[in-house]
Amino acid sequence: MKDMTKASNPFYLAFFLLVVCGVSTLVMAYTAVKTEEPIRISQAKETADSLKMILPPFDNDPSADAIDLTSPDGEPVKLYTAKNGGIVVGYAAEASASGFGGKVAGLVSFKADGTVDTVIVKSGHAETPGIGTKVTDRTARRTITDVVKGRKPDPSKLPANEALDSYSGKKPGADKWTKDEVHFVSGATFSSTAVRDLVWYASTAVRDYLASQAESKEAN
Amino acid sequence: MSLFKEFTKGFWKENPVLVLVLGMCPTLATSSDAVKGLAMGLATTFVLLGSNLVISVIRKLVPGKIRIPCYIVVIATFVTVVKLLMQAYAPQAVYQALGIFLPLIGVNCTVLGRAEAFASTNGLLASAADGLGMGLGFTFVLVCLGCVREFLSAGTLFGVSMQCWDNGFALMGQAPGGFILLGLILAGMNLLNMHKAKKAGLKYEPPAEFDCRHCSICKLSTEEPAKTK
Repeated sequence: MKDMTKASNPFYLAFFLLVVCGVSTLVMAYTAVKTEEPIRISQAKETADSLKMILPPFDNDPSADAIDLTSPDGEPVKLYTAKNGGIVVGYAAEASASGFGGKVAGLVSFKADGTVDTVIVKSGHAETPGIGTKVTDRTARRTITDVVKGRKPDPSKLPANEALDSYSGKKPGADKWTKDEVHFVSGATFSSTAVRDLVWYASTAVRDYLASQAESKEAN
Repeated sequence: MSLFKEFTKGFWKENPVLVLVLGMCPTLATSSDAVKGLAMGLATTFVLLGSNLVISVIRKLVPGKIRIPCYIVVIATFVTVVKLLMQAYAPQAVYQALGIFLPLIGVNCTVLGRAEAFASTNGLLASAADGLGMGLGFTFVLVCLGCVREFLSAGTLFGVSMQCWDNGFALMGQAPGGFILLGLILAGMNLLNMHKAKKAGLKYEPPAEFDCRHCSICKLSTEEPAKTK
């Protein structure tokens, strides 16, 4: 006769698993609800900190009235407008492009006329340490002497990066910038191309947005 | 074994990375720098401690046939909880640097291995000591590997430049470099053990219980786990 004790009864086993999954779902749901607000705050803080770093002083909340744009190449771009006393002082656009280790996302700030001001790559990318990160990172390198002497890096100053800084003052032309126009790090072609592409997507989207704004003003 | 011994065995005698050679994927992927290694190690410790505790409590209730799925559900719950907590409270840079490897703690062999080999047959306190010890042992190895790899590839430790090495040994920053370094450390450990055995006039052989064939997961389909102590 088939053994139908509790431990081998398939209905009991299924029921037991169901109970375990149910309890687990409750625990996960409770954590998800409890952390929803802190996660939103933490993400908003990261964006706000990045915007403060790359834009001139502003008194509005750029995240509150961010606009979703599409670049001429069909890439999504998020546009933040910085205003001071009601006057536009600059724009920042968020875009991403494929690098060596997946997506590289960046924030590009623009002067009010649409020229590129500063480029920063958001943290969390997976570019090769020591090679790809030469293109993407703006980390302030503290040295052991600084630590011993208690010198702290100035958080208001953005550390330099030759590759990212080569975009400052550029405006998008008919074609993407070539290796000669902007700084490509040798050995890090994928990362350099990704940064070039994301700045291109952001700047062309901003160029078109500014053109459409000017047109609508004229029409009025 | 005393609680203290259960706790300390994870650091050296039964270290999950150096002796049991479990959890290689997160070890190689997240030990490219010391900060990442520390964050990954602590997240894994939280999951190990939590899952060991819960599994130890429910061990007598879970039918043998479905114990592995039950353990996996418990582990996955803790992984989801730690992921949400890190997303909310850890620095965004650290959370994003761990990326996909954070949810992948759920399939880290160290966690399921401890659940199956220890928590399913031991009491609450012993399981907690085992989970904490194994987790901290894992963290210790990840931080050590991270320090060496970060120093060789970027000349920094925890992001602070040491001002004495600027050769950019890029291989060390990637997984192959991690493999090579780990291989050298394992060879060094075996050499040390052989030397110790030779001094005592013995021949060194790895303990039989660490052999893959003795892993109880492999016996899943043929027999029930050992009876509860």
